[in-house]
Amino acid sequence: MTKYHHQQLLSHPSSSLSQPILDSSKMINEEPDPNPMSDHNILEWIEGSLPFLPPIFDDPYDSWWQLHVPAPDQEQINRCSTSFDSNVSTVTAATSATLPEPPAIPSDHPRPSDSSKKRKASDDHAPKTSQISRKSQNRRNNNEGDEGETIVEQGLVPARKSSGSKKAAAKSGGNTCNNKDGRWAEQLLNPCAAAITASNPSRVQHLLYVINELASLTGDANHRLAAHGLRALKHHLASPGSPVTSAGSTTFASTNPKFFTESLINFSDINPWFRIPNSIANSSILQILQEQNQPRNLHIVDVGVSHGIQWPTLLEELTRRSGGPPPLVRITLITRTNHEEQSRNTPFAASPSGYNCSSQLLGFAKKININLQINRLDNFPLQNLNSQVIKSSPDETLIICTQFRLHNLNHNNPDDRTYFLKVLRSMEPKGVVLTENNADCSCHNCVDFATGFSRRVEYLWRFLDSASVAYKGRESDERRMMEGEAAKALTNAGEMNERKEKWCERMASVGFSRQVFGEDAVDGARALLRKYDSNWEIRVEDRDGCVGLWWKGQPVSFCSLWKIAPDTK
Amino acid sequence: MAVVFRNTMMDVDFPCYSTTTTTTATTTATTTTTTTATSSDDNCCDWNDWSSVVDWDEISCDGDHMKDDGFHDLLETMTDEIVTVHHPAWALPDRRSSTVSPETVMMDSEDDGGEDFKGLRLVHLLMAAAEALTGVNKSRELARVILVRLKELVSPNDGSNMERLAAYFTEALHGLLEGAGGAAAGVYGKHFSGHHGPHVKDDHHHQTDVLAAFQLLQDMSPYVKFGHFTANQAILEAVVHDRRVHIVDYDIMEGIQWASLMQALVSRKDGPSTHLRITALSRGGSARRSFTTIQETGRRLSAFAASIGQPFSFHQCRLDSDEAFRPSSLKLVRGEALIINCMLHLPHFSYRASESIASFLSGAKTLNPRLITLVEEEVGPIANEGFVGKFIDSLHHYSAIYDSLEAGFPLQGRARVLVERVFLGPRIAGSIARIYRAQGEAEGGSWGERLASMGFRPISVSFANHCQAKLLVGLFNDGYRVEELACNKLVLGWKSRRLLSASVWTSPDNDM
Repeated sequence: MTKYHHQQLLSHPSSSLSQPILDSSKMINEEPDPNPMSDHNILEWIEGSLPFLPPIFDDPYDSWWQLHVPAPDQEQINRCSTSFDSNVSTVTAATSATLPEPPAIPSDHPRPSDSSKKRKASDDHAPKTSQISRKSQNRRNNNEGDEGETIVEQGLVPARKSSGSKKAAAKSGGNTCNNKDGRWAEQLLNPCAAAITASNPSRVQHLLYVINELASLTGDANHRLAAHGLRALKHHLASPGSPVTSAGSTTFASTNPKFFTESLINFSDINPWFRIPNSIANSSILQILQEQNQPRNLHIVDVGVSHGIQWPTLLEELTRRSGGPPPLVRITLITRTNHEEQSRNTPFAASPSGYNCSSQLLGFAKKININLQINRLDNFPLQNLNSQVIKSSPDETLIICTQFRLHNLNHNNPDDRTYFLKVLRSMEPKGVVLTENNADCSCHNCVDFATGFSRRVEYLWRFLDSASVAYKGRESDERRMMEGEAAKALTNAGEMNERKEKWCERMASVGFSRQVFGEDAVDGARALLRKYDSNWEIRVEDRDGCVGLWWKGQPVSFCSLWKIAPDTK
Repeated sequence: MAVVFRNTMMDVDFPCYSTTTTTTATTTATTTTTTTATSSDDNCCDWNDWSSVVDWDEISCDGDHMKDDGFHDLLETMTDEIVTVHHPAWALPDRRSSTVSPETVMMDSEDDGGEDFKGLRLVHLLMAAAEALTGVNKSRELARVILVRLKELVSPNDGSNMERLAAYFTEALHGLLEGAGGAAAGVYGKHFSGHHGPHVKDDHHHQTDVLAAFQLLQDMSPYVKFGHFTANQAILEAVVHDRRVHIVDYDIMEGIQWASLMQALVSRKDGPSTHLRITALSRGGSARRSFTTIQETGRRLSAFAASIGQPFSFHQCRLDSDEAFRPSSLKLVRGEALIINCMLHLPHFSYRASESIASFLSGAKTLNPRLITLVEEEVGPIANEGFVGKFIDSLHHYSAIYDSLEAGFPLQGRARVLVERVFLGPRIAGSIARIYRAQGEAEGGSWGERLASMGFRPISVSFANHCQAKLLVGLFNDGYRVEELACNKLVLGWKSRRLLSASVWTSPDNDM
C-alpha cells in the first residue's frame, strides 16, 4: 500500500458539501509546476526565510553533553549557593570524583577542626587528604600527650591524655547532622521492605528493578548496601527461612585461616568497631585484677567475636603489671563453628574451618613468660555453660567477656537471654564485660518485617560507611569479606538487639551491679580512637557509666562492666 | 511471523509475571529472538506496540494488589530475570546460584528480547527518579544517583526508541534537579528551551536542521497535517457563503496551514473569489525576531496567494509583553467572517504559556467569531494527580509518538533522531519542567473544556471532515487512528494512546 496509491484514491471528491482539502494536497503533489509550494518540499516553501525561523530553535540542543562535562569548581559552588536547596551540591559529586569539599554542609555548623572537615568530605574519594589530616592530628596528640601504660597496647598512638572528652564534645556538634539525604540506598531498600509488608507487589517489583540497577558489591557504601539489601530482600521473598546463599561475597566461614587472621588484624587497625571494645575489655580485666588482694590465677571466659586477636595485647600488659603476671592465665574460648544453624549466623562470630588461635597465643605467652592455658569449647550452646563446663575453681579470678554474641539469644518466648545471664551469675565471676550493638531489636517477634529490615539496614549502613572510610574507598578481598560478614545481619534471624538501657536492666535483674570503668580504660580507649577517622567518637554516659562507640553521631555499640551485686552474694 | 511472535511474547512475558505462564513465555522468547534476528532488515513492525512492553496501568496505579498466594514466586521469577538478563558488569554475584534454569541462561544475552527488557528497566528508573525528586521521601541524592545510572544506559542518539526517549526524560529530570529547567520554563514570552544556556549555537547551522526536521516530521507522521486539515475543512465549511474571510491565527509559525486553505478557496466553483485576510499574532517584548519571522511568513503567503490568484491580505497583531491578547488591537472589518485559529503545541510548535492562550481565547469571545478551531495535545487519564503520575503520562505520550515515527519510517533512524533532537527533546524538557512547577496548582483542564465553560458552543465536525481525517491517517502507518470523541472533536491517536485533538467551536450567540 503505497502513499501514492492512497492519494489517487483521495483524488475522488469525497463530499459534495465542499471540496476536501486533501484534494488540493493531491493537486499540489501532482501538479507542482504552477505552485511554488509542494507538499513534499517544505524546504522550498520556507527557503527564502532561513534567518527568520522561530526562535525556539536557536537554542542549542547540547545540554545533554553539558551534563557530561564537569563544570568548573567555582561555577558549581555558585550554582549551589543560588539554588533553592543547598543539597544540590551533591548533584555535582557524580560528575567528578575529585570534587572540592561539598558545600552542602551548612557553613554555620560548628566544626571541630579543619582536618576533620576535610576527612568528612573525603569519605571514599580522597584517601590522601584523610591520611594527611590523620597525621597532623597524631602530631598534635604527640605534643599534648605523655607516655603511659596504655601506649603499649596501641603501639601507634603515643598519647593518653584525657583531652578526649573535649574532642568528643566538639565533634558531636559537627557530626550530629547525619545527612540522611546522602544515604540513598536506604531510601529504596526501606520502602521496598515496607511494600513487602504491605503486600504491594507492583511497588515491590518497581523498587526491586531500581535497586537492581544501582546495586553493586563494589563502589561506595550506598551501592554496596543496595547490593546486600537486594540479596536480603530477594532471600526474604524467595522463601523466608531458607538457607542464605552468600555466594559471591566471602564470609568468615568461607575463607582460609591465614587470610582471616590477617584481615581481622588489619581491620582492627583501620576501624575501631572491634578494637575499642577489645581495648576496654582488656583494661577492665586489668582493673579487676588490680582490685584483687593477693595474686591469683586469672580465668577469662571469652564469649566474643575477636577470635583470639584481642588477647596478645592483654598478655603483654599483664607482664607490665606491678607484681607481674598472674601465676596462671586461663582463657576459655566459647567459639562458634560453621556447623551452627545457618539462619542464626551472627555476624563476625564464625571462623574459617581449621582456624585455631590457641597455638599462636600459647607460643606468644611462652615468649613473654606467661603461664597460659587455653580451653576451647567448640560448638557449645551458650545456655549449657556452667562452672563445671568451664572448670572454674574458687581460687581464681573469673572474668567473663562477652562481645556481640548475646544478641543472638532469644530474648522473649523463651527468654534464653535472661536465662544465660543467670547462668553467668551462677558462675560467680569477679567481673563481666558486656559489649553489644546499641540498637533496637529487629526480630520478627518484636516488629514487622519492614521495621526490622530497616533496623538491620541501619546497622549495616554504619558498618559499610565506616568501612568505606577505613579502606579509603579501595576495593580488596579483605573489605569484601568483612562487609559480607557484616551483611549477615540482614538475613540472620538472630538479630535480636536491645538498647543499652534494656541490657542494663536485664543484667541488674539477674543480680549484677554496674561498675564504672576506670579512668585508664576510658582514657586509653579515647587515645586509641584518635588514630581512627574523626567521625568516630566515644561517649561515656554519666547516667550509667557505659562507654558508647558512636559513628557520625549515631550509636554503634556500648561496653559495660558488671560485678555481682553485693546484696545477692 | 516475527511480529506475531514478538507480540505474543510481550503480552505474556511482561505485563504480568504470572508463574503459570513463565515457562511458555520464555520458550516463546527463544523462538522470537532467532526470528527477529533474521528479519531485522525489514523490522517495520519490530516495536509495533511499545505499550505492550510496559503495562502502563500496572505502572501508574500503585494500589493494584495481587493475591497474596504466588506473591513470592512472582517476585522470585522477576528478580531472577532481572539479575540474569542484563548487567554483565553489574551482575550480582549470586546470579549463577544453583537455581539457574535453562530459560534464564537463554535470556542471558543482549539480544532483542533484552531490548524490550531494557525499556522496562528504563521506565522503572525514570519513575523512581521522578519520585525521588518530588515524592514524600524526596531525596535529591537518590535522584542524582538514578540519573547517573540512566545516563550510563542511554543516549539520545543511539539505541532503541525507549533508550533515546529515556535519554531526553533523563535530561529533563536532570534539569529539574539542577533547578535550571524550572527557572527557564517559568518565564513567559520565552520559549522553554530559552536563551539562558551558556552555549548559543550559531543560528544558521541549527536552522538547517530545523528545516530538515520539519520536513521529515511532515513526511513521517500525520501530526501536523491532521490539525491543519481538520481546522481548514471546518473553516471552509463555515464560510461557504462568505466573500470575505478574516482568520486570526494565534501561532502562525511558517504559515504552511494557509497554503492549502488558499488552494481550496481558489478552487471553490461557485461565484466570485473569496477575499482572505489573515492576522497573525506576534509575540511582543524582546522577540523582535518573532515580528520579522512573521513578516516573512506574510510575504511568502502573499506571494503564494498571488501565484494562484487568491485575493489576500496579511496583518500582524502584536501581543503584549506578557503575551496577553488585547482584542482592541485587532483591525476588524464589517462583513468579514471572523475565524479564530488556535493551533497549540503541535510537535514542532513552541510552547505557549497558558496565561497567554487563556487571554487569547477570552479576548476572542468578545469578538463574537464565527468559528474557533482548536488543536491541542491530549493528556491521558491520570489516576494519580501528582508529579509522578503526570510524568509517567508524559513518558507514555512521547513513547507513542516515538513509536509512531519509527513504525512509519523504520529505516530512517538518523532522520528520526534529528526530529527527536530538534522538536521532541526540547518539548519533553519543557513539558516536564511545567509539570514540575505546576505541582499543587489547580488544573485548568483541556482548552476544549475551558472553551465550553466559557460558553462557546460546539459545532459538529462534518462527515466529510471526519472522512478526510481518516483518509489522511490512512496514508501513514496502520497504528494511527482517528476517533470522534465528541460531536465537535476528532482525536488522532497512536494505537491506544490519544495524542492530538482538533475541535470546532462557535460563539455563544452565534446562530450558526
